[in-house]
Amino acid sequence: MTTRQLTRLALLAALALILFVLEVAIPRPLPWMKIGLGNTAVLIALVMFDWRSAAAVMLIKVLVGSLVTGAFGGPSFVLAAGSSVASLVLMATSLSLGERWLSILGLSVVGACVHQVSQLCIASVYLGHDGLWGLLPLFIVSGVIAGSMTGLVAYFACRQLQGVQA
Amino acid sequence: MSRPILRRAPGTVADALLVVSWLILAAWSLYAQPGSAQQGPLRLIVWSNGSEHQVMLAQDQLPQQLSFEGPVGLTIVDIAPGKARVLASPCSQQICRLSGWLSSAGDVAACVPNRLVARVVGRRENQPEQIRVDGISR
Repeated sequence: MTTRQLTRLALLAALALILFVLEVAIPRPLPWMKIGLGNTAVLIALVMFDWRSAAAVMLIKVLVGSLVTGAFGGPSFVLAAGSSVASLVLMATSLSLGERWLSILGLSVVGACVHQVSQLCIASVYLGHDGLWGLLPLFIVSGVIAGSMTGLVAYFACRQLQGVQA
Repeated sequence: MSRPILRRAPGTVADALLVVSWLILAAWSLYAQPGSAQQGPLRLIVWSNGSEHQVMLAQDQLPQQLSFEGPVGLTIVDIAPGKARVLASPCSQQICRLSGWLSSAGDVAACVPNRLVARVVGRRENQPEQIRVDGISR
């Protein structure tokens, strides 16, 4: 990895962290609904670098972000970490299998929806009850909307970054 | 550096198929909800730390407050005529409290840190038995 790439990755990690923390202040239509702006930086790292770089950005976002918001070590941290890992694994798999057909938006929708479903799975295991599964339709629809939004942001950001690269 | 996916504009056929697949899963899960959720009188079921409690949500229900002990502390559930809400919770994110009043079948408030789920099931009196899509609109 060149110094230029390392610098760019560090900036992406900082961006992911800032967006993760700032998002707490954005009003939400429903209390558990998040846009997942921090995921934009993870997505950019995945498509412009590789899955290892995206994993590094994601880990910094989740670890430092939960330290800043005070959630580190608690159930909210396990939810965020578990669903972020699941989301990245599925996005990286979709990228390697479907790069010929997918755009960044499709990749982002996969990540957001997997994030939502895995959150329900982890929460249900922790609660020891399936009472939350009634929220699955809303979780998926909000995942599609949020994933499309972050996907579009990542697409335009990548276009600009490629311009800088050239 | 310039991978094909970076050059491709959003909105490919594969993107559309993915979105449609997720929406089909959402629609299927909506109709695969247990039918028992619509049966019986309107009531609140609270699962707290492994045990289950039921409270009727009748229009003549006397207001009361119930407290549930969880790993983080006490969650207070406020019962009013025909509706209920989480009034206070010791958790940090307060998602359960911010969920507001629960009054229709399918309405849910959950506190993961304190291991509590409150869900409304059943039918309001004088209400025909049918699939109430607005029950998930919260």
